[in-house]
Amino acid sequence: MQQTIEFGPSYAMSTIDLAPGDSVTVEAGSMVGMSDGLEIKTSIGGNKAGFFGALLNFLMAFIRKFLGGESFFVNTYTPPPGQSGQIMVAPSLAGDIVHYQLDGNRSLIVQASSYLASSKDVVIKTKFGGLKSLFSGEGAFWLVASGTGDLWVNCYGAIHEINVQGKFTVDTGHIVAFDDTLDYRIKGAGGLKATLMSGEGIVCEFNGNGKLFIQSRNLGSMISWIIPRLPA
Amino acid sequence: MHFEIEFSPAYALAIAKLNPGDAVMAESGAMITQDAHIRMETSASAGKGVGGFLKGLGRSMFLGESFFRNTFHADSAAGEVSFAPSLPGDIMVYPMQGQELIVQQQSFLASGTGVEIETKWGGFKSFFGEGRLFWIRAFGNGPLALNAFGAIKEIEVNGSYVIDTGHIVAFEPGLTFSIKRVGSWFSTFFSSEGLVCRFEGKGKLYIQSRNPAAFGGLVGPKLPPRNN
Repeated sequence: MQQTIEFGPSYAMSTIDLAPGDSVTVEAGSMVGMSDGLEIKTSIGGNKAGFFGALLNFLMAFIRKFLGGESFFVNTYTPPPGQSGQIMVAPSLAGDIVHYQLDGNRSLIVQASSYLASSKDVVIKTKFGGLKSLFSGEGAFWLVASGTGDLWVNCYGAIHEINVQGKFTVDTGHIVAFDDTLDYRIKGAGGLKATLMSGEGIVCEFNGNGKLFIQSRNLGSMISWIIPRLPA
Repeated sequence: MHFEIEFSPAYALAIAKLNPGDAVMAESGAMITQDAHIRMETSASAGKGVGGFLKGLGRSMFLGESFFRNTFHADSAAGEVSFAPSLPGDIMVYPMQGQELIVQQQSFLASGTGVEIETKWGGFKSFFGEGRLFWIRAFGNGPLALNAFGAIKEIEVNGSYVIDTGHIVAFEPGLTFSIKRVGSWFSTFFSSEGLVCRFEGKGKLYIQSRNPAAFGGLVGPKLPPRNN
């Protein structure tokens, strides 16, 4: 599978070339264009099988949609047997896309609304971030991507990759994804006064060694800016 | 007259450079800056006569298209006028040389006066595709500036290619299109792709890397409800 990302950092779009036998799963609604003849299968996403697995998938997808903002469904595109194909994918918001190669050793924890696409051997699980995650403003759920293969992640704004060694603090609204080797702690920006008055509110302190991807803009801030300007 | 595009691809600006006697025509409201001596003339965009008036009125009532177009004249001295669309994204210049180009209604920004713009009924198949009843048919000679939501990518179609309807900017007339379901009925309703557009033939197709309807669908629910 080959891929290229064009038009970053503002209106990034990824063109994925599928070899015979390949398939790619993408967030519902993100297909821009594709070669003719690709088969599409719509499903809830989640990899457990069996009746209870399916029920859990359904529940997780439902919760993801309402608390994480991620679409309820995913689409898997496969070229007809023996043929190759091409699909172009892009998210709905202005921003960047990053392509991450998973090698089976580490997992990547991804903010729920940043999932764009993944190849067939990548396992995506929904993880409840805990109460602290709920207050982070980005939704209560993370996705954990593991396995071997390709993962595409989108964000609002440009993506910046940081190699964390030790401690690093990030505004929670700007976290896109991070290696599972990093521990994190949600806390106030400073003392009580700083937390309430600085406008920074809640921040996330990372600890350990690993990659961290952040986004240069924050959708919540933009919405807060627009709302007072809407007609009364 | 020619266009220069700056600040591509996110916040592009089209600068029309006019020689004496040149003019440039643009969508209402698109002008950002102009030299002081430039003379602006406003006319109904749908054409002349009662037929034109009614057509233009219908279009602006149902589709939010502007009723008027503005033509900027340089007259006796060279000058510059710059244009930008409302949505962030790229602008491209397509050189019209006597052939046609079919353009998505919200993508027309500005053109030289040798380019004629006509609104074309897209038929109901267009409506189900994107909610747009009209396309714009451009023909004639001169530069045509088109804007998009997102970045613009040119695709050379030779055979067939499928595009999500919200991403179409423009296409050459060598291509025919049909609106079809993306897959099974289940997929059509739940995939969020719905209906897609299948282009066949040989020609260039221009797409935008973001979809205004999808953006609206994501941001809209986060805004407070309208009061009415």
